[in-house]
Amino acid sequence: MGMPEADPAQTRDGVPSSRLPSLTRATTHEGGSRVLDLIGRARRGDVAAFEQLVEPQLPRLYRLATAMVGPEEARDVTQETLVSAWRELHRLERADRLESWLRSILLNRARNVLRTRKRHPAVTFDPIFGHGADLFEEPISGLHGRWAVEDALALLRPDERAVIVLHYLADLTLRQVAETLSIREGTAKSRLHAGLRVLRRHFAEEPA
Amino acid sequence: MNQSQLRGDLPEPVRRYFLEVAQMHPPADLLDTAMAEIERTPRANRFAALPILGFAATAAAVIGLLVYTLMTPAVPDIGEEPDPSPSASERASSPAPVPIATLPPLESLPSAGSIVATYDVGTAGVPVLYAHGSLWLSNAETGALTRMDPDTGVLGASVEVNPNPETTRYDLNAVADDRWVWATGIDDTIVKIDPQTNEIVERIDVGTMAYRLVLHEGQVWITDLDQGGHLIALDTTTGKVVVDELHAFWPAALAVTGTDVWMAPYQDARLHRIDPATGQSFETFPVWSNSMQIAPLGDSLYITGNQERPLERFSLVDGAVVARMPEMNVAVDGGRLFGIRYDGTIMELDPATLQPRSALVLEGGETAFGVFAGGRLYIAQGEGEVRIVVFDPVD
Repeated sequence: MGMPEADPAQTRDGVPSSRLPSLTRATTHEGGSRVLDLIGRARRGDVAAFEQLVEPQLPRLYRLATAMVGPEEARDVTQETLVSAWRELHRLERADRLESWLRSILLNRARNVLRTRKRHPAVTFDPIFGHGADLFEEPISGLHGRWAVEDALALLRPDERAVIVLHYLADLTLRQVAETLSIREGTAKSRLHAGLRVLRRHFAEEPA
Repeated sequence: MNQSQLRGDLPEPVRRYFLEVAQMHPPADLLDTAMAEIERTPRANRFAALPILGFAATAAAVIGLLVYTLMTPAVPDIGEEPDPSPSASERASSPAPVPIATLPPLESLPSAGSIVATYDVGTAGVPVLYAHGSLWLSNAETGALTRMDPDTGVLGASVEVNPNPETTRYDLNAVADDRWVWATGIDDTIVKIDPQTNEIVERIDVGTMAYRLVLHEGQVWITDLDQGGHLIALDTTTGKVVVDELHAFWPAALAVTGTDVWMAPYQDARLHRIDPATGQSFETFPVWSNSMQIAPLGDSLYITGNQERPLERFSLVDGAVVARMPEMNVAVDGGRLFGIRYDGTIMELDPATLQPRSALVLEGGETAFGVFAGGRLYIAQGEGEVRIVVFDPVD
């Protein structure tokens, strides 16, 4: 039976604690020494080193933010992510996880935005522009097409949206998605399916 | 982007939208703006600068040989003693190492009290809460919270908090305010239970699987252990998440004193003083790693855990750990501190020194921690089939 003070290290997924990955071990890869050097300098207050550290990550972070909260707020979320990363850099546990660490911060910020955001009124399309697939004969970045997709994405729970964005936009496997969100792979899979169901239903219900 | 996956799964409009997003570039001035903001932003905890420079040099050398390199963060391995050096805390200046005291021979101590009743509760669980006239027994495996009359031991209503037995979880914990009982649910929820009807009135999405709960000024504060490092505050009136801050090393133990929130991660050897407005740490103190629970009493926090983590007394006045005893759980009541060891020993402890004043050894199996109700301590004993032992301490 589950005692309230059960040993988490012993019971975690049934894996003995001795086999759990150690937080005190990190591997580096090519370029790792430069990253380590930049992290070390940034931790000691070197802003220029921090800039060099995060600059290569910026496009991916911005795209992730755009897909999570939409282009209007993507800039703010990305900027807040960088500021938070600067403040909390000492919490980065492994240098080879910089990208996933930044991604986690951004997703956390984005989910907070989604939770607190008042659902904007559903966009009512003028019939002159048509609906559904017809909308997308214009570039998706066109206002109406974009609104339609963002309305659909807004129907998702923040965690479902994060799974879908990480899987399809960031091209992560479900295992990687699960690791990024610190959830089980099965949970990631169920959120993916739930999110896809919502999206498909939304677009299937659009008038032809 | 994985084009084949996109074609198969995503609705076409979403697929096209993501393809366009994947081609986007950040605004040209975004990095400059962010860096200007960063220039004005103070660091949260400069104390925690890792000894990374040395490892950078090491890494450079080792990568030159095309092999893996080790990096050592400034946290001890699980079960290690905290680093008492000045760099480990901004406030505690070179605290003297506090040894783990040795327990005296128990037979030399007076009796701590007597056993006044025992109740076989089967698989109903172990006591985690006394509220609304009941002891609330928790069984994380069945996912049920079951009420027990503390006077008669009669079991009452059972609330199915976690109906999915497949869901792996460590604990099923609960706290209560004047109106509701709040419990750690499944699927990233906190469950709000009406103790008048024993019905779940709401499952609130908090975005992570909760581990430990405490109440603080109309909010439920939540840690999630290894589920992502969230420290969350939930407004009990609105049911909205008002704080969600990421912390490293598995936020676990949690407590409130006055207006302060305290959190100790399981994998870290630090105690964090948390800003309740933001969830961010603004002060840290070295403690032992493997923290799982914090019990406030007077001007002290009593920190417990597992893996032979010692019981620690953290003095709020001194801002440092001032006493340590071998691993045990604690329960507090009316200004008194009791220690409960897994071997069945119950001790009243001196709140200042942690030295046992009296003791009683229970027979009949392993004990878990206990909950006070009406001046008596209810302790779970046994594995599988649980017996609740009612301990009446000597006045």
